[in-house]
Amino acid sequence: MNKKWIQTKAFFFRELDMRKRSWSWQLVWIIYDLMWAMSVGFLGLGAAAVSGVEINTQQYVLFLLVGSFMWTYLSSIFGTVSWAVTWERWEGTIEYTFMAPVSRTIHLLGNSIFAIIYGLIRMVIVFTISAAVFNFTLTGANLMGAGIVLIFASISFIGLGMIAAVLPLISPEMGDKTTLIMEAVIMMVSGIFYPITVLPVWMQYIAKISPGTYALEGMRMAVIDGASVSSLSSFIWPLIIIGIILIPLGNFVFILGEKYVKQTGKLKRDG
Amino acid sequence: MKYAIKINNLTKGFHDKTNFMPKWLVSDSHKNKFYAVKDVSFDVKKREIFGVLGPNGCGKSTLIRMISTLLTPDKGSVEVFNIDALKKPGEIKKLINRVSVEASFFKRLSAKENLLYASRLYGIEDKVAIKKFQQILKDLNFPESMVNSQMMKFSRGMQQKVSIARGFITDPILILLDEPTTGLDPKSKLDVQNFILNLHAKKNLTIVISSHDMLEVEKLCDRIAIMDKGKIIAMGTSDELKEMVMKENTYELETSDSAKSKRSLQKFKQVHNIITHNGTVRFCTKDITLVADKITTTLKEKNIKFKNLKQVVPSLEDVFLEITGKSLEDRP
Ligand SMILES: Nc1ncnc2c1ncn2[C@@H]1O[C@H](COP(=O)(O)OP(=O)(O)OP(=O)(O)O)[C@@H](O)[C@H]1O
Ligand SMILES: [Mg+2]
Repeated sequence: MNKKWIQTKAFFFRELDMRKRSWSWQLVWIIYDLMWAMSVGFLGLGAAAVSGVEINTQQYVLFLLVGSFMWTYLSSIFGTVSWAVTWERWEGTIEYTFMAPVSRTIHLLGNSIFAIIYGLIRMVIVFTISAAVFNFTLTGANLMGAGIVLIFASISFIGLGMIAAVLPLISPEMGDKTTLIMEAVIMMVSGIFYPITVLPVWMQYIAKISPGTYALEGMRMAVIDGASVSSLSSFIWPLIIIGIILIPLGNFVFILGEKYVKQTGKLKRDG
Repeated sequence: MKYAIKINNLTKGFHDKTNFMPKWLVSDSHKNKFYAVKDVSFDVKKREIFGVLGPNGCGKSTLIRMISTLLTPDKGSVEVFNIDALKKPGEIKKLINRVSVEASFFKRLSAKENLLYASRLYGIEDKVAIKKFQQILKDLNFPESMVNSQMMKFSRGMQQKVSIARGFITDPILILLDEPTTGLDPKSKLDVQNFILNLHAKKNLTIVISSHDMLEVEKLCDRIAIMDKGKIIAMGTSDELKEMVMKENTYELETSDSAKSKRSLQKFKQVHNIITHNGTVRFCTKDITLVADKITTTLKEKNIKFKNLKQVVPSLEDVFLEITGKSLEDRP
């Protein structure tokens, strides 16, 4: 048990050390996230003026901001888990990681624990500053419900990250590009700044299987409407089910990917 | 159990990289497979230092990757301490480690951070790991103050020393050293070689070392396999290998114009295996009188300045040339 814990720590601290060594980049990401979130907030403030129609501006801004915060968090998780592998491919350390007597589950678990903590920190910073700028509070929110949605949304996105991580494993050149596209598609179909009902019907089918959809909608209900945990269950259950499918699937796909690269010799850095 | 490694008919091919068609478009029969390792069989005894010698691209690294479970063989088997590498790679991983020619690290992280990452992967506690790598780095003459510097600031030699520390920090009982000294300056090379020999003297350690430096292999190894084009073409102790060319005598002379000397020597039918290297020319022949007489006169006639013409013990390079007809240092 102790040994497994040390192994998990290996991945966690590797990610942490890497962020520490490139702290200026972390600052850049956070500023970027923040500017993005606030721009979207301002978009809400300007909606009435642009459209010339009276709307509940405060409600609309909150709707948009919750979307931004959630996306800051979820894309950070997804990105951290899949980029960890891209990074190892670039450095060539993946051969040493794969040669160590460590299970893929621990490998991905260590990465995921870091991803969650790192994503939370980014989200909290963006949230705190935007809350001050847009002058809103969470008095009406059901924080416990929001927390539960966040936990299960995290699990689903870790699963997605694991599946995405197999792409850079198989092809370092194509992998990280495909990962970004995957992220963008999930963002668009999941209703980040709009209800999914505005999407073309065929996209709505994709939205139904995206954990992002339930995460965003559930979070909005909890934060804006203060919905109770029981009324949130129609979002929580799909997240649990998707998580139960995605995590083992991610693990399985990654192990398959490992088998494939060992067979074809694609693990080697240069050709 | 006498053997650390047992390898049987090991074969690994890769698809031709010049093929630009996507793989799924090409039928299996048209896929060009080229074999990096072909039908290789050998055993390594416990505590042996086993050398794999061969030119660039002969398959040394591919062979070592298969032993270290990083590549799955197409055919054949690898057993490490009686454990099948295909069936139970996880068991083998605990016992072995590998140092490769390209010192792959997280370049932004410090040496210490990289070494702790590596040791934690094996479940080793930080306290223990730090003590161990401090000792190893000291033995390798690595300046202690540098462990907290980022790897990207290190010279190739220093990176390689950290890489060696990473290999030994986990106390493997089999270590695979893939050209551990290539690209190092003579002093660092010696540091590394002495470290390996000292450790081997103290511990229960089996070593496989690949190299295209024959002197290194000769200095370190109990037994040597010579590889060419994916196959093992000769194997034995360095004396056994040299006996293969002993049927002729080997000579060496020093000259400032080795190219011209080589051309002159090539004119003699009875002279074989001419190697030029750093102002020396080596060659083999059975005919002793020829050397004392005709060769000397010919070189003098052609105004080639030379000195110290003498009979020498053949080197592994002579062996390689005798078997393959080409020099070890020739790049493919
Ligand atoms: N993963 C791979 N994919 C495709 N081809 C490969 C792969 N690994 C090795 N090869 C090819 O197989 C041959 C043998 O390569 P290998 O790296 O085993 O040689 P080597 O003896 O270690 O050479 P060097 O002395 O240059 O390190 C080379 O032609 C190389 O290009
Ligand atoms: Mg090699």
